[in-house]
Amino acid sequence: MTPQARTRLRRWLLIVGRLALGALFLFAAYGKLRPVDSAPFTLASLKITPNSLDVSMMMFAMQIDSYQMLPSWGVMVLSHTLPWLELAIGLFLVSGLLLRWVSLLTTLLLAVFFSVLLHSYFAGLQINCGCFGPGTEALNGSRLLLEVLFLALALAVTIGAFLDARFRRIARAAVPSAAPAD
Amino acid sequence: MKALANRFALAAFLLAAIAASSSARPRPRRPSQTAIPKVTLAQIAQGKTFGVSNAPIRIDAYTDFECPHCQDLYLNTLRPLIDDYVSSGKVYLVDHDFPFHPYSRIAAYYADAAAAVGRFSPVAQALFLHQSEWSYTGKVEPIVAAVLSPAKMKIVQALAQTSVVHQAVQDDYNQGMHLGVNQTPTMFITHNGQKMPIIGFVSYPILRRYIDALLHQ
Repeated sequence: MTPQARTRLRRWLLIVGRLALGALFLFAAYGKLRPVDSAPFTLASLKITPNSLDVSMMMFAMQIDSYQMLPSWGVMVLSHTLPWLELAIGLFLVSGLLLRWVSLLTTLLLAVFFSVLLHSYFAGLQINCGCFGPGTEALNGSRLLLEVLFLALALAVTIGAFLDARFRRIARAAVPSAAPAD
Repeated sequence: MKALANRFALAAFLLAAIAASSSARPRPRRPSQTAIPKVTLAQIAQGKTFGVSNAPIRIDAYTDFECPHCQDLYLNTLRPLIDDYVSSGKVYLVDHDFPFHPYSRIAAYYADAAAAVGRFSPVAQALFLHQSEWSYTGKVEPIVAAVLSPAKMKIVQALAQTSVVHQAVQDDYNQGMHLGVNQTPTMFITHNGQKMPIIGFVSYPILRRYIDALLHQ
């Protein structure tokens, strides 16, 4: 494989990785913000309104509360900020803006999520993960495995983004000056 | 021929000995010295409900008397909820047995028997409050007796052995399994016909805000 082909492949993998991670975060954010009582499934029932948002945030607050790690005020702050943060991260990842820093933040966030899940799992808490909104995503071994895969993907995108930036810098420095020689 | 006769004699002797021992064995004391009232499954189910059935929000709580998080939920979340929201007609609370642990089924029999005579609330509260005292031994009777009059206790004791009470506990368990309950506590909050599962412990301040948000929707 030529160096150019390798660079192209690396860039494509980075694009696919960041799009997958971005979609994951957008899906997670929507799962938490969407109307709680969206069944029967219609397009209108998926519309987020201020009233439905209030209920959805409180539903998410109950899921955070079931981890029994934060006081009530902490639960309220987190439940009202985390979905928006996930939405912003998702948008940044999909657009590719500030990729190095956003992917680094994503990795750190997923590492925190994973350690919280791991701690709760070994503490014997029989709870709903709440990772993608309300439902019955039990906190179990397969859930933890999935979280490891997400974390690995985020780590790969972060490393890829930093390497890509470095290679671009090197390539830019290697290009001879375009100024005409007298 | 003589050997055959000897074998017959031995068999007859053994049969006689078994018959004698079984007739000499003391018969188990039947708890039905007290007149057991006839109760139905519907009566027991009704005894485990709090509030009015046409309240805007219905909460179905699946709990296990031996589970520590269920204790926490019952004492610190559902009790204040009953005082603030059930009494005012905003929430209809339905308790369901979901026995997982070794002695929780026995506790559930006593609680359901108490429900049949309208004393579910104090018995459930006592069982959760003194969970650590009986969860290793299974001796729930003294805990139940402490919150009932001697006459009521005799009835509850007798009812706890009946098949209708056992069936009531099993029905709750089957219903929970049908709804996908596989851990306790699990609550189902129904509002506007939508049933939302809440798995695990939820503190009262957070549950209260969720209910307020639903009521203001």
